[in-house]
Amino acid sequence: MDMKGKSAAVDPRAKLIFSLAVIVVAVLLNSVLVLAVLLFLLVLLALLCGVRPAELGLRLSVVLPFAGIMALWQPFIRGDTVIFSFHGITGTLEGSIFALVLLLRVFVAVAALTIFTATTTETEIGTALRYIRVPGVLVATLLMTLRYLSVLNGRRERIREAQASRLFVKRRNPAGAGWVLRNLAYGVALLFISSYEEGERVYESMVSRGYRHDRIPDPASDGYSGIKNALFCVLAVCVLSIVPIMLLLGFSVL
Amino acid sequence: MRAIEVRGLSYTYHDGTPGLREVTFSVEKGDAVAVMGPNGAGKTTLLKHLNALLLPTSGTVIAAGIEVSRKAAAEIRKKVGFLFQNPEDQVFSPTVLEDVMFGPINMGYSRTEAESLACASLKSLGIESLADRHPAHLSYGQKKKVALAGVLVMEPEILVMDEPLAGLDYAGMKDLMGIIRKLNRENGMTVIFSTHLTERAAALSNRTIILNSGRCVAEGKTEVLLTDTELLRRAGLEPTVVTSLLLPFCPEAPPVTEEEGVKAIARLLGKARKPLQEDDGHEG
Repeated sequence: MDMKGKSAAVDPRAKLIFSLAVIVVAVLLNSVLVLAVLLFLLVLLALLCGVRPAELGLRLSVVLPFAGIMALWQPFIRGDTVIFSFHGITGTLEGSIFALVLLLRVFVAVAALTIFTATTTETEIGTALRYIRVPGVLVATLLMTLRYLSVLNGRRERIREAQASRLFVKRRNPAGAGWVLRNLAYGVALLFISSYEEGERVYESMVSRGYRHDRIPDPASDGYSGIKNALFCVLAVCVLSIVPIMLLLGFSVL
Repeated sequence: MRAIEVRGLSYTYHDGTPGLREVTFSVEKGDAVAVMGPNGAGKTTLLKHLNALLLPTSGTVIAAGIEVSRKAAAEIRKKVGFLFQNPEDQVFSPTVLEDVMFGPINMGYSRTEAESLACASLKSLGIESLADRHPAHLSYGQKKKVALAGVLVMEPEILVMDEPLAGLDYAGMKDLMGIIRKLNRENGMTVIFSTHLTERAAALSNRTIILNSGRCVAEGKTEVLLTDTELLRRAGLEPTVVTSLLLPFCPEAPPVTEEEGVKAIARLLGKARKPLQEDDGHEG
């Protein structure tokens, strides 16, 4: 179900509301099993929606250092049932389970948001956010940030290539680590200065073509595909209904 | 002796867009080669392979006797200098001198040696007075020369330039064209540059490669390819103004450059004058 391209797309509001609902449910859940099943279903839905596995994997792995650090010390600060000892520091069963729950909650949230962001254009994201009453200035700032990120990334890649063409390597540079760090800092400084200037040009070109931050297209007039909307809603309900189903089957979900 | 050999080079971008398809050509040492083609023809993609900034999806690229690969990238970059189209990306240090020293320091020279090499490079391009200036305060043409100094300081055997004359004013363009000619004709450096303007190719190169939609559609002597108006039209290029104007009068050997155009006009005027003189004689 390729959801990119406006005429064949699912209404971004449906995707946003679904993502937010998944996040709320994930935050309320304490069961490793239910969260794992939910994550599995979300991954399936993402693939069905046309999200590339590599992209999904990348987005999940990006949060790992942040969520991982939070989860890493949970076994040592909560619970009483000692299951392992590390250099005299004891780890508990309750803490380990909570760490796993924490990681799964983050993965579920990221997977849900990936379904939304990877299959929705920038303008549609803005439309959906405005629909749920996010202030216009905030939406405009977010959309500008998204646009500037691609500008920034393009610039970063060109600077990296220019440095590489003159034999700049980060590891084992004959001039030493200090030189490498200094030049990386110069690169970053140039990146920000030039991206600011380029961002200004991008903004001016947008304004010259009639852009106004307070004017975001009305989603009702966009003509999204009725069949795809219905199909997505059915799938979304199926994914979310796993929680009451497992509750009925006798699993402890909370 | 060959400076560059490209055989069956194909390159596909990560998103599946084909950049180059089965490109094959070779460049002799000391040649000045123009890589021509319309926007999106694959010129930059091809040139980046010569500096190992891109690696072939299939096929081989041998530059300065070294086959392009991830492993050989450092060796290749010592021998093949690359001038980027936009100097803003290439010049990033806080002073011009430091920026020109960047390459030699990466090559393992001490700071003193790198500084002396950088000063010499700046001097050779006549921009030594800019040494202490911040690159952000330079004009586009000055930045372009600083970027070139930063490449030449590494003493490459082959100089690859991506649209070197784009965005320059008349004086800056003449200046840079003079430098490129000197590097090629006096120093014997192999020069490869991309352009979509036939005038620039005619003025600077002895050989030309024409790309279109990622394919090499022609390769040969510049003066031959640039007079083939049908080939140029098919490749989305236009002949030089001199060729367009004088082709109907000299179809057997149409001129390409301004100098050739002047000579052709002189010949045509001579021919025209002769029958007039003969007519005058009859009347007398």
